[in-house]
Amino acid sequence: MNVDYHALAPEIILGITVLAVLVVDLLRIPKYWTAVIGLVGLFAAFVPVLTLGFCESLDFCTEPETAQRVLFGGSFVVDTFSLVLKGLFLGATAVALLLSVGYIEEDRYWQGEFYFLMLCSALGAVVLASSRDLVTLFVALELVTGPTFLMAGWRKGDPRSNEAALKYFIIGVLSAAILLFGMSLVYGYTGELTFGGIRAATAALGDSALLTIGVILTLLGFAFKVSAVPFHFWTPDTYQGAPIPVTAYLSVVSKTAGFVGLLTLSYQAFAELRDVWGPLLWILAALSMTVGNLIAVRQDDIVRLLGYSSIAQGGFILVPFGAAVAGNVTGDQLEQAFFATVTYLLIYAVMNMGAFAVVIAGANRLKSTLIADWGGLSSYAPGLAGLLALFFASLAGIPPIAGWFAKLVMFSSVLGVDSGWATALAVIAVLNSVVAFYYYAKVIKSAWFDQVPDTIPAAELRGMGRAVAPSLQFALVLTAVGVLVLGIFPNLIADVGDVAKTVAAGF
Amino acid sequence: MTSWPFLVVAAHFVGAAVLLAMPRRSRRAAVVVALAPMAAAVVMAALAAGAVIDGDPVTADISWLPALGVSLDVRFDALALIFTFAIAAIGMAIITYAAGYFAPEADLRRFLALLVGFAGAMMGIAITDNLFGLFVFWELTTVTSYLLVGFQDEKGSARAAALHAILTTSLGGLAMLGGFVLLFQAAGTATLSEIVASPPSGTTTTVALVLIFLGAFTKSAQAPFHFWLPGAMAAPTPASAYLHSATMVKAGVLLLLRLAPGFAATGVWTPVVLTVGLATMMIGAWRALRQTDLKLILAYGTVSQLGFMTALVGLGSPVMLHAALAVLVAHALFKSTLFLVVGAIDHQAGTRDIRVLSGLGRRLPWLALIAVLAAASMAGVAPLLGFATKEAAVAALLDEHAWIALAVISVASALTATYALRFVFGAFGTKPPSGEVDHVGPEVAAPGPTLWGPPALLGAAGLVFGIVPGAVDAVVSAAAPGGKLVLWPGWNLALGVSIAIIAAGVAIYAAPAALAHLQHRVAARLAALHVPSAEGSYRWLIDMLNRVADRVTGITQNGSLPVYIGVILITTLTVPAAAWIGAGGALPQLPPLGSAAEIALGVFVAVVAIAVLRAKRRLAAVILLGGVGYSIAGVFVLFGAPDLALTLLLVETVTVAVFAFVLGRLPRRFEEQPWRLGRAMRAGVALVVGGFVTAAALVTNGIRTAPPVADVYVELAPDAGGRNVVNVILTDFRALDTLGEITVIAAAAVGIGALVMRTRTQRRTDDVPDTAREAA
Repeated sequence: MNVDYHALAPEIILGITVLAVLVVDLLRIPKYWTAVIGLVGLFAAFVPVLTLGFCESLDFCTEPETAQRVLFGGSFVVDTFSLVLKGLFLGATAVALLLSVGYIEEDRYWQGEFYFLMLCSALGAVVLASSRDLVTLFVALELVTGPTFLMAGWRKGDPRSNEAALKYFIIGVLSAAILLFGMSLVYGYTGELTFGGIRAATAALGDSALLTIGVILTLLGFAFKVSAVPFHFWTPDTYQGAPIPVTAYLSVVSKTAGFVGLLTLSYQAFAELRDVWGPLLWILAALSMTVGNLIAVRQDDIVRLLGYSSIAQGGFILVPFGAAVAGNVTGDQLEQAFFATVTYLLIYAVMNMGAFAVVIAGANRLKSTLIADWGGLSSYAPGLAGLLALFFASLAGIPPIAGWFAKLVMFSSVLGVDSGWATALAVIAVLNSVVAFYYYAKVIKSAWFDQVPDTIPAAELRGMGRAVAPSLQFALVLTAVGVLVLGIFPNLIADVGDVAKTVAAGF
Repeated sequence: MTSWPFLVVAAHFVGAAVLLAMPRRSRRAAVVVALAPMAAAVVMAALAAGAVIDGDPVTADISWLPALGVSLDVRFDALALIFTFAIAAIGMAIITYAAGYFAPEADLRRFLALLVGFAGAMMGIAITDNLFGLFVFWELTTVTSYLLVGFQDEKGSARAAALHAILTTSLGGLAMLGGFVLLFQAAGTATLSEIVASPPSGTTTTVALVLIFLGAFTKSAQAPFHFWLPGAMAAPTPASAYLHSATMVKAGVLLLLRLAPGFAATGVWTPVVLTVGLATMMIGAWRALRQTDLKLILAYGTVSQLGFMTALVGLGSPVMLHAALAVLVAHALFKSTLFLVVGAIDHQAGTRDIRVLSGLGRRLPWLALIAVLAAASMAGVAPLLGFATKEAAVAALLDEHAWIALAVISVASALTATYALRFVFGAFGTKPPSGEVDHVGPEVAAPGPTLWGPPALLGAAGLVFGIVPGAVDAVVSAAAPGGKLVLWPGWNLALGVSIAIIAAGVAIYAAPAALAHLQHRVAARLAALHVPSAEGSYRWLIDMLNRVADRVTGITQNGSLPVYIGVILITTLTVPAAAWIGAGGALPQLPPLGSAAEIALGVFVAVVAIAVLRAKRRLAAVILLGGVGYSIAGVFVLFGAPDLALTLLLVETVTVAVFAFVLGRLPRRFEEQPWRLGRAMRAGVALVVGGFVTAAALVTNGIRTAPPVADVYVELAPDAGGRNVVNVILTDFRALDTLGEITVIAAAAVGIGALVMRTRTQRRTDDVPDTAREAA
């Protein structure tokens, strides 16, 4: 079999890294080497992503290239879309790993195993970005999810961490069952596994109630991954109970993996069934935004607040899917919707990772994640307070920080469609943006305008507490530069706008 | 010099960044750094003025996101010129003032950084010719103003007010963004000047305009959103003087002025904008009469004046736009002067309460003179700029026979004269001694030159431009040709109206008892009608948001895993079921009744399953569950799959055994379920799920289209040299799968073996950190 090893290089490098971490962990050398190897592996895997992406402009790339490389009978495709997301997954995992170093090292529990699991999960995500058939998609998704069950319960001594892992596991397994049931119905009806085949079969066979149920159940299985309401129940408890770096990982990599599945399935496999998934995702988007935001309003714990905010942000990311609810939607508009979701995912990854990095840095210092305890942060840690304002303002969508651009393309994607339903979703999104603004602003207000609470010992304020670890500093700088650059030069994303054309081709 | 305006705006942001990086102590240097970009803006505006007034705007294309129509294109026309000049000139006055206003321990550097950043954003709004670029600057002013209003950290009220202001304006801002996107879709371009030159029409445009109105109204404190402005008076006074009189609140009016030439003829324009403007003008003036805090008098006065401008823009004809812009310029001058005077009083006397201040006029006559000049301009007294502009407005209203608007504006203007008097006498007058409050006044120290200099300059400008209105008129007419500002209009009807307005204002002021009575009556009537006040509505809304949030949290996040799973199951059932019914899906076909043995076995399974539920002890439940499994094995036997039955028997046995081990560590009995309804609901969910799965199984079997794969296997089995199909599948058809499974089992066995050995030979190491293990 003639295998395009260049196309598979990111996965191969990551796979080798996973094994290397496992082996190094057995050696009697300091455990942080496992983290170093993991980080090096992630950056190394990034290299082929770049060479693949810029293949046409590179000299050594001699093979006649088209926009995409199709492997294994169409099950595995490397195109711009998958490369962009591979880059996202690798970058976000690298940041999550940087966040973990200090955190996991502090308790000194099973560092090697932890990085091994995180990299396994990342490998799943990278494969998922290229998966173009039901089985590969499912296996990749479970590879993403499986290790995170263990990671969520990493603080073994903490009952909340145990509860976090157990709830996550039980609801996760239930959702996997729903997903498989749906996929089996789709396969049973169409007799096809590849997305292209399913699309052709649905076009030829026409509609059927059975197929509809299969599609709905498949997508609902993914609703769990993206924490869409009402499949979000595990999210806050798990986010709060899990170690914060794991929460960051879950809220970005794991969630994005779910969205990638939704994107490829909806726009490719179920492209002819827009009247099924359009309304379904419309409802999920509206519910997720509204419920996530409403609950976030009353949170006094910053991690829990970010947990609910990530549910709401997930709703915003779902909004462009809602454009498909209109019967008269054009191919161009669907492409724009696809582009909007990918853009939002990229920006969300950077800003959410940054927000969690700030929370970890602050929690290290203050030994508290209560927002009230963060009052007056600017008076003794102005840099941290500035970064907090930066990331939360980005989440709120204030220009010229990256988040605003995500919101702009999100609004445009539904407002551009001439349909009452699409417009209604835009209105819901606007109202929710305001509510979200309210609680993000409250956090910024607390850090900048409130008094330092008496409960914080003076020693912490004078900087006697632990300084921010170098790895964490690196993560903070990376994400901060990211939100600023993406906000001021959104062209960087707009230039990869042809992601939509390769996946949603043929609308 | 085409991109000079843009560079000047950028210079403000650079200046803000430099200020933030400076050491906190260097106040003098901070002032210089803050003044520099504004001075550059004044110079730039002066150099460009000649060409711009001749109708030749400075334009530059500054591309940002061409694919989405987003750019920072510059169009420095006369309107932008007026705003840039006002922002920069008044800004310089405010910066000088702030240097004297803030106590040495306050972080002046941070205040100036925010102020300069704000000024840059504000100029950006004025010079940008792109909808989305405008939005970006718009939001930047919101954010910087948020930080400026909350600048006085120690005041709790400042924090609440800052949040309040940002919420209101950001709501409007987001609505406006929606409007911009729609307008962009309708017009096909995001360039403002092009849109106005060939305005689109239709429903989309109307919706877009309404959304944009929301943005403009919230920013310019129009009813019913006006309430944030008085609240924002918690800001330090220099910030109020700048943001809440001269600049930020004018952004809404500016946007309306920009759009008016293209859209004033649209059906939705005049009714909405005029009504809102008139209502705001009345409400603001009316409430200004009730205040005792000097700053609040000015704040409500600002609301009222903004309503005045909005109403004029609402009428939409060129002459009205001209008048609106003239009023805007006059207002920027007199209102910032008055704010700065209040700041000086507050700074020296420590209070701004007109019931407490007394005799200040005699102590500080020069400050009083400045205040009188500005207040007279506000009331519309000749020969100040306020007179010329109000005269222009009245004349325009008379010309166009806009009687209702004229009536409302006249009444509100009379009230304006009244609160102008109230302000002057409240701040500087001598009050009769009263037993309730200790007056503050005669012992107040004179303010330093930085505190009286800037307001004196601004106040004098109002006088100079009032005497020579041509200077202002030249620029205003270039931006909105149509009207004319004159010092002396001659004896005509408009002058008569103006005189009547001022006379009425004085008369109302002279009868405070009657006014108080009327105010009381109106307040009582409004209370009786249960008309919600705007501020009450805001509180109610925030309260409501919090309460709804609590309810939603309580309902959805009760922490119970069974409830969570129940909701998920119900959702996964109802959505497909609805789709099924909606699609007119087939109903499940019941298969023919089976043999007696099958029926008996089925009944047995059901009975055992129910018994599981009734079991009180855990062990009993587990054994009964095993019984269900064994019975299913029986079903396999009946259908001729003894190997499968055997496998199931083994699995069930192992499961029960494992359970039994675990149960040794758990209480023997289940905890009682006290909540009957909860049990009923669980039973319901379980039944529905079971029913759904059964129905789905029946239906999917019933609508099979392709021949089952089993037939193929049976057919092919002899070719593979076997008769037992299962064996053939395992060893031939899917041999590779079997190999994989064997590998997995072997790996798992090795792992289990290792674990078992380890626990036997080593103590538990779960809780020993890596370091300890490394050391071991």
